[in-house]
Amino acid sequence: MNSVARCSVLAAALAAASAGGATATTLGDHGSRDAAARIAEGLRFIERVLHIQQHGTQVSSFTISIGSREASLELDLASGGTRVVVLKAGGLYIDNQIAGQYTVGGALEHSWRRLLADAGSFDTPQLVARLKGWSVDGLTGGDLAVKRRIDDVLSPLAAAPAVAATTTARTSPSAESAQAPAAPGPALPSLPPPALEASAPAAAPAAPSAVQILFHDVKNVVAMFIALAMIGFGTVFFARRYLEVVADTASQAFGRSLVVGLLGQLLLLPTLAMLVVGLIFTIVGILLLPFAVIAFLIAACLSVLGGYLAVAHAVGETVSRRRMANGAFVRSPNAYGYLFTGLIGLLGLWAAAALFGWAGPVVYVFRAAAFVVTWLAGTVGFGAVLLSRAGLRDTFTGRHMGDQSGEYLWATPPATPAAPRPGRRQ
Amino acid sequence: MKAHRALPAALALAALLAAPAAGAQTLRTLTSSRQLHGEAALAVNVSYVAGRFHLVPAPAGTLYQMEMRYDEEKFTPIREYDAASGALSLGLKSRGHVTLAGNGDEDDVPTLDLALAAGVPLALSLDLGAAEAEADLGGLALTSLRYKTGASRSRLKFGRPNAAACDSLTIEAGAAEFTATGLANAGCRHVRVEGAVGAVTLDFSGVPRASSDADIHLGLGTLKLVLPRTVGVAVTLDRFLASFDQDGFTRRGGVYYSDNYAATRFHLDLKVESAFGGIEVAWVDGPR
Repeated sequence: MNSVARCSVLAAALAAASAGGATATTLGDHGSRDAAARIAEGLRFIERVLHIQQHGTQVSSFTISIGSREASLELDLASGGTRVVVLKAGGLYIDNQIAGQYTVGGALEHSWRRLLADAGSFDTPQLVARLKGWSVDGLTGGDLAVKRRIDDVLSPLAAAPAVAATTTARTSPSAESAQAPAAPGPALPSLPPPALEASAPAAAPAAPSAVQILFHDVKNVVAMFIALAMIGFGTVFFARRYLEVVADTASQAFGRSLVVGLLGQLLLLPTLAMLVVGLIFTIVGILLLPFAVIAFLIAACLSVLGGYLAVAHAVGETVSRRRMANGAFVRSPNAYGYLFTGLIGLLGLWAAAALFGWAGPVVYVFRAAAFVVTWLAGTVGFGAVLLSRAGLRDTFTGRHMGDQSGEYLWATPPATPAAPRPGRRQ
Repeated sequence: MKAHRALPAALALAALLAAPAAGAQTLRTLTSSRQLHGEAALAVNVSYVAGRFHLVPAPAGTLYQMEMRYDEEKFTPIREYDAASGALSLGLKSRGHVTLAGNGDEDDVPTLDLALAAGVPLALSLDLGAAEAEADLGGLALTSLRYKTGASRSRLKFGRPNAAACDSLTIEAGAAEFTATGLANAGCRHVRVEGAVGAVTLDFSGVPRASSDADIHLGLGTLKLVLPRTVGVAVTLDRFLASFDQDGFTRRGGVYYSDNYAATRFHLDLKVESAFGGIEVAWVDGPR
């Protein structure tokens, strides 16, 4: 903004102010206070005008972008405006308008790029000073014209004064207090009361009646039976062969399955830990780790559950065959029936515990027995799953009876592709 | 061991920096700076998808100063400032999907050097992706800090006391090697650390100004706690297959108390959840 323009703006502002004052005077009934207010308003208007003009060239922030094809300078002015100077592919752009042509790769472009590249460590006042002092020697023709156009933009600029924060930072307790002699702190917290005491409610709820206990316990057992039966029937339907192999392993190699199941339980967590440690040291392993841990836990749970169902199948099969051997009529001598019978047998103790829950301490005997039986079934089943490789290997099923002499071969149907199960040969 | 820890970050970094075709880099540098203009407070969000990141306090009179280098075909700079609301957003974001085919040139790695105003109360949020980051926040006036990092190697440092009262410090680290030092200088009353996989070091040394608490959740990996002897420390542990170095602690009622707990003015109460890893403790004598 040159001085002529500045004076004209000032004259206009004064005229406006004086007009306002004259109006105030003509409205004499408002009194001297209104007149003073009008004058003050006019003066503020002048200040506003001057303020705008002053801030019109003050740079509050800048952005420099240098790419392979262009180098740009963007200046945010305190007035709210923006000045943009870009040298791009032979063209000078000022505020996004073409303003000249320069030689690509020439002295002007090199100097401009160097000027902007060096500005990385500058704050705004330093940058403005460097921009205003920018000079390039030996320019001619179009490059010289472009340089002058850029100077026209840059020379009126001034850095806006930095204005510190209007509020001071809300400081936390002072450092002095932190370095004061340490006063003794509170004593160690007393030991927490025993868990039972801590968790005891203020007012004990009414004790459930015997019928409620009976209903609750029986409901749980029935729900568990239904859930296991559904899972078991699904297993029989989709994986009958594997379930039978595991069941045969459990019945034919009971002791071995028990020992393997015990060892498997003991080694379960160490194996998981080794898996984690083994995976964590490789990049791929770290990525696979969550999946591997989840897969391991799922496999372990399925092994125990499948083993338990296989033991139920084995128990049911044994009971059914003994009944049939004694001449009793068995309605469903198949895998579904075996599983159903076995689950009734294994959950029988839980049912007994549920039925006698009202009888006082005797229920603990039933529950302990039920727990032991359940754990035993789960352990044997888990061991059988491991021994049979989840039903893939029938080494311990007792199906391999060794070589038979020819006198028994007549008993084997010639069209049977696989060896029949020992139990069915009877 | 350190090399092992840095590998996930390096891999992720390489994956993000990879060019669709080798040698097709179009590097751009961006420099930006803004003067202070009487800002009373500022909410700063820094989002940086990949590369090297460096943050320090800005010189007096400067609101922020930023210098970054990036491949303009793959990344877009973020630079937004709303003076009315006092919201500042800076950083670098990806233009879209990037594939693994980098040429391994160090010059191809994006960099961001950032300086933030030291005298303005800041609510700072740093969201760093596959970045190798180093941030010295000592001397800033932080009212809150959220530091989120993905597969990275990060060093967060409070070399000088915080100039403001800090309510919360939240750290979320993915597959990372993360180190925070001088946490007492941060002066945040509540510290929360979420670590997924990796090695996390939390150094609570510095000049304490008040008692504070910290919730630390670590999935897989090691947690190293550097604890000053001038502060009473109580540790509540919830761990699964994770060791804990109990030297200097006495267990009472399920909580590990440092031997000086009753005699100290300020306390640091830690709740640590960890699985599959180890919790190491190192004691230091005074402010570092």
